[in-house]
Amino acid sequence: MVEKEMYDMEDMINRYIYQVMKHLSSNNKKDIEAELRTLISDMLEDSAHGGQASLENLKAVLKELGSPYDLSEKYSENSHYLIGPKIYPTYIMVMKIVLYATLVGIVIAAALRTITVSDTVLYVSTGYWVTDIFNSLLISFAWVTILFVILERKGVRFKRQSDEWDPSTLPQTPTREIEIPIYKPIINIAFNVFVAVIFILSPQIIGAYYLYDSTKVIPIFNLEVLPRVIPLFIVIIGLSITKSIWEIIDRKITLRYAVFTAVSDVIQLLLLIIILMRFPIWNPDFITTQNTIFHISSNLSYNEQLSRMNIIIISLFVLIFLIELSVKFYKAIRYGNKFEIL
Amino acid sequence: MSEKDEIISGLLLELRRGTIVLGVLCQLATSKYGYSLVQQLGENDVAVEANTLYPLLRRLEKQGLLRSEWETSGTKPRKYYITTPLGIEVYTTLKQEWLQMVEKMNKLMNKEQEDGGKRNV
Repeated sequence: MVEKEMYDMEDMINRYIYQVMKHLSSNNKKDIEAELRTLISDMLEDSAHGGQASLENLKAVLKELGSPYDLSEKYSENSHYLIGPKIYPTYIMVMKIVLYATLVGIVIAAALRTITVSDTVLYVSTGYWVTDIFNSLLISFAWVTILFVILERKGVRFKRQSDEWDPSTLPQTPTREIEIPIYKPIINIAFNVFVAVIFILSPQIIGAYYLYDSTKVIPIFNLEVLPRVIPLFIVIIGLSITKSIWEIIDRKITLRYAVFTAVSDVIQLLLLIIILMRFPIWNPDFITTQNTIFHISSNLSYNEQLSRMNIIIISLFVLIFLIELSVKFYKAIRYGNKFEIL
Repeated sequence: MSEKDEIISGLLLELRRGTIVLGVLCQLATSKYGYSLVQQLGENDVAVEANTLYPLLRRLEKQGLLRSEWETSGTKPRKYYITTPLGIEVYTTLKQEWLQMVEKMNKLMNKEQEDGGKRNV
């Protein structure tokens, strides 16, 4: 009888400690566990007033210590937040804007698909468009959340929540030159969602349409190769949306922002070059058809034409990249706040 | 618990939170293990629960105000804490601040009482 009770008590202590340790996110768990075991034993002796402690004593002691979850929370240096109260307001603000922007992009894309999908009735009646909208909202939600979880883990605090500040370092109210109007990131997110949806779900609708027969389309892209570049493509879109989220949070061009966008743009450019150079994404039919229609009788071989097209596209993007970058850096340095340089 | 009691206990908790550190630092001039400190504070009518004190000891150790050592020669392994020189310095300053704070608050509250009395007349 007594032996059984002792066994039960031992068991309960082990279960309690296991639960505390389970919730604990500390690197000296062993130490805490040892200390906790001695503490429970001390408290038990105390509550039994020198006699033999009973199971009832143990229950009272554990009740006094509190639930395992509460106790482990008291031990944790970082509280159990995925997204803590300091960045939570910013998280909610960004989430709202991104979801609205996503909704705009996906609705336009869904509308376009409804018009062009070969079986419109099926697309609308089976509710595929509902799935499209739901999925893209879910992806945006996940994207923003993951981004903020990373920020929380990295201990990023946005300026406005800073505890210690000097009024003389208050950022200047952004002048018109460096202010980013809120509609820009919103349009950008909507546009990216739109492009992503069309590119991933209905790439066949991007193509040359015959005036006399709208059901006949020659897609621009090689539809068999396209799925293989989608992971790279998603990274490009993701970077672009991340840039927009930054713009929503900070709303002005700073040197830090210019550096960030430069890095992100370079990655995007490299990915684009990889996609164009390594994957035959263009539809050969499309190119030959264009040649026929526009009576291009080129001496160039098909492959030469292709690489020339790729080079034109890449140079165009590099040009846009350089112009945008120099404008941003110029504005950041010329008009930016001296205190906010990096 | 009525709403009033809840407000009072919440505010009391806030008031006491800072004083616990003061109590711990003054008691750990000589080394003690966690539960003996709980008992000692309790005997002096400064009741602190073990589940508050143990995590606090770790935090203070991490801040460098305390240092600890395991004592394994007894029946149970025990972790003893003692203030570091930094801890003593911090305690001395905190104590002075505390005494001043008590004095100022007393003065303020007594004055308020007098003024209040006049207002009611």
